[in-house]
Amino acid sequence: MDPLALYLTDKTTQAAIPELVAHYHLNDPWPIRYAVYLSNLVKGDWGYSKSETEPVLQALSQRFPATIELTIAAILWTLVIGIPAGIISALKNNKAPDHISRLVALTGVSTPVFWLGLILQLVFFYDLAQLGLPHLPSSGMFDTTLAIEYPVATITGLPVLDTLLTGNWVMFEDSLAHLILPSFALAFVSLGVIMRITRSSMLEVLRQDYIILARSKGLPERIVIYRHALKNAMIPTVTVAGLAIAGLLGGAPLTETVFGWPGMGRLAVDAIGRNDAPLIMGFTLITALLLVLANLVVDVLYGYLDPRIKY
Amino acid sequence: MDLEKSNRSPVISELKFAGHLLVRNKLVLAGTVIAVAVLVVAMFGTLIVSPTILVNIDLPNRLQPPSAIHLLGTDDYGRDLLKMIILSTRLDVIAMLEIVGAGVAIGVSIGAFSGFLGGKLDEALMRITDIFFAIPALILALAVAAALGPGLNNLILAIITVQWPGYTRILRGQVLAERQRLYVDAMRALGIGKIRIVLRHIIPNTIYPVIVQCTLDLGGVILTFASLSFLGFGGSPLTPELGRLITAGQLYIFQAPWLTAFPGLAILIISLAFNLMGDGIRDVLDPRLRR
Repeated sequence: MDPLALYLTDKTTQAAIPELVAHYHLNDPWPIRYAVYLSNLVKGDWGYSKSETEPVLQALSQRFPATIELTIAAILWTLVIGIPAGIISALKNNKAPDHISRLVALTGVSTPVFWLGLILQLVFFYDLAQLGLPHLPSSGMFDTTLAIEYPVATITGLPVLDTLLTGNWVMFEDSLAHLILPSFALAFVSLGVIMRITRSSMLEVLRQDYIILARSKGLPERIVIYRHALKNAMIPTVTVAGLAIAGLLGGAPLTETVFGWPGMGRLAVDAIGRNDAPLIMGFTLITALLLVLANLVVDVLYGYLDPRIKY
Repeated sequence: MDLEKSNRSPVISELKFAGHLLVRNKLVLAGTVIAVAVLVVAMFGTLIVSPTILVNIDLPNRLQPPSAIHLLGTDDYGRDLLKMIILSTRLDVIAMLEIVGAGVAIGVSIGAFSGFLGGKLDEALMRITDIFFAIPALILALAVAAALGPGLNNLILAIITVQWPGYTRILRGQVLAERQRLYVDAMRALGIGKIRIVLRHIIPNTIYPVIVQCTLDLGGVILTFASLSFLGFGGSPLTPELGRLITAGQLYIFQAPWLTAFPGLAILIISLAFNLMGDGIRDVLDPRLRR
């Protein structure tokens, strides 16, 4: 394939072509072009997106906050539901709650996230609206007509956080409502994984001698579980949470497409349809960077959870 | 050559033990039964439902809700949804088996030789697998599929590309421990070649964890395949594929929700069945998790 074709749009003038060729070294063999790409990356030139008609880095950074908001909300769902459910499941080992959590966990990893998104829209938007009940919005980050009356200021780019910071309560409520369905759909997959790993590491810890000691000292069960057992049981959970972020980032293109969420994932899906290679490469690179960052955070958290781990 | 034969019998007794434990857990048993049923449907799908249904367009009967004649209703071309799902299941399951099969074949060959030979080659191969772990699998598959262009085979190839490094890493770890064993030295002393040692002895002795992993992966692979297909990768829009059925059904989600609900439910059930089966097999083979 002619590498030049990836850079040409309807508006590219004949005069601009030699400049393009020179800038991206298009007449050179691919190892040199790759080296040029890499050195440009470091300099902040991630190439030019022909479908967005702007530099790749700019296109991605505009969509970045939306994806981050969705991912953070999904992580919150995962931890807030997954960890307590895992603990309950460990304490009721091999009883009904444990079996239910096992089934829920396996259902989570078996559910197509895009389908779950569509079903959630059907039930919580359409069906509730048909019944005349309060319903959740089905797409977008906030109501754009409402936003004309109550403009959303951009501070961080995360609408929920921005409206909270500026005290824009109408839009805060609206953007939060818009966040519920997509973030839950995205979280559902990793939720079960976190639940199961919390369960098994909790079971492991509960058999330790110091737990028996804590109980024989007559400490209330609540203290034994939450103060003595939980922190030690969290190390495998945190490790898996780091890995689950990979799942969340991977699920972003699907969730964002289904919910019309203006994030990087949907941008990448659109870019593929329009054969915009620099943008796809940029998106892949940025998710890899986010994943490495997430694993770094996990490593740092180990030191906090277990003071014996030092770097 | 007694050394070579002695490797066989534990395999069979392990399998019997596995079968025993699988039957004991009801959830796992249910999953295994459904998984086997799905495999049968995949194998004989075209005997149950003729592929000619794809062109059997019956517009007066389009978007019919589920009824006695059309158990799951009809799609926007008036075709029976149940028949479409059966036909699509066949394609999805075959793709799943191809992907995992090729992934294991590539992963095991590279992992075994990399671990056994060691040295610079091993180092280089492991750094290559590292690259694959730095990018979320679905996104890497998405990028590879985009680079390869449309087409069913390209989509399958893209998912294989992200699938093999996991097996390579698992097998290599096993091989590193296995090659220290005395019997390997004995065989080297007998003058048996490296390739023969790896293929006949090292791989059969180290492949268990890979088998466990690949059964655990089956459910995930079918999800990845359907997801990418939903986004528009793979064959033409008319390809009978579960993700594609949802893409088509999505247009009528409020008018004819069954067109979205049932194909997705089919993906969920297939994936869940294989995950339950894999989970059961893992419980059997990994004593650490048997609790």
